[in-house]
Amino acid sequence: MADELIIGDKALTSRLFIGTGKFASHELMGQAVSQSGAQVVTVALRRVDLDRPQESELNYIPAGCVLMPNTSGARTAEEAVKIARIARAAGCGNWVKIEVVTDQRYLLPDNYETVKATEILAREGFVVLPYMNPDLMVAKRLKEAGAAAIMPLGAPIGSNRGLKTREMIRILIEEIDLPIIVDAGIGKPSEAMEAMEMGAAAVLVNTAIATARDPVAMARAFSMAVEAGRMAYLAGLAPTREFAEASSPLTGFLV
Amino acid sequence: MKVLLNGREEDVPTSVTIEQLLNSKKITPGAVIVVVNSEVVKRELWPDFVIKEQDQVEVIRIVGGG
Repeated sequence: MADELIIGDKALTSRLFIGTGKFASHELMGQAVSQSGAQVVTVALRRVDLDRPQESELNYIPAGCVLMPNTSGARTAEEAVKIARIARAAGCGNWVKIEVVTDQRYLLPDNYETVKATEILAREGFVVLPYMNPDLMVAKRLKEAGAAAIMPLGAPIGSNRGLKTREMIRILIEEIDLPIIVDAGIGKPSEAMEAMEMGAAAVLVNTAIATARDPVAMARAFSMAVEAGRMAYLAGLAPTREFAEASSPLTGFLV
Repeated sequence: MKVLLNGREEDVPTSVTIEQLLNSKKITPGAVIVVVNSEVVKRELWPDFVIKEQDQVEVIRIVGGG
């Protein structure tokens, strides 16, 4: 049976979601997404610079990708809801990544406003993927509110510092019966692999790919790491021990 | 007449349509979303949709984001 990740009405075979910000060019972004095999990409909504209109990134996103607009820029649930509604009305589909941030130093999400926005948008038929600070009780509230998946942060956005919230993410994976997608902070393929080995359903990576020296090769590296980590999780990791246990037979020694 | 365009007060001709406004700003219509007074205006309505004095017009596009 195919190992698919079901979210909303989509059955995904790739467990690497890619954020499309910070790439040096639209072409590089398109190539990185396409080489990684990612099927879900995040985008943002911004005012057009009327003095300097620019070409849309949308033309470079491989056909068939699920677009997941984020609500970046929202400081309240109300603002997040407004952005999500605009994105849907504009034809971006019904997936949304809720991102409500007021803290400008660490860009940590406001879990309380995030729950409120999730409740409203899930009721309106959106497939809601909230970005959150990993907290078990909040994750439970998000599930009750109708979230399609939960996206805890590993470390602050764009920091490339890895799975600093490892223990809390582990608890979410154990306790919450929804896909847990590690979003933000993952800086290396090995960290994406570790998240997958722990049982994360997917990871969302942007900065680590977009700002690598060779973003296209890095996207491929992440894709392989995510696949390996998933395979290891499904294979069941062998137990760890405090002391040595010989791997060769302890009988029939030659000396 | 005055309208609020992307948060900035601008003078535009009376009875200007969304299509005319975008053309005057040299914006490729294919790539943008237009919101007037918090409501998204569907693309097919742009040639006939007349902007009124004091309307709040937002011209939005999809950009790369995480």
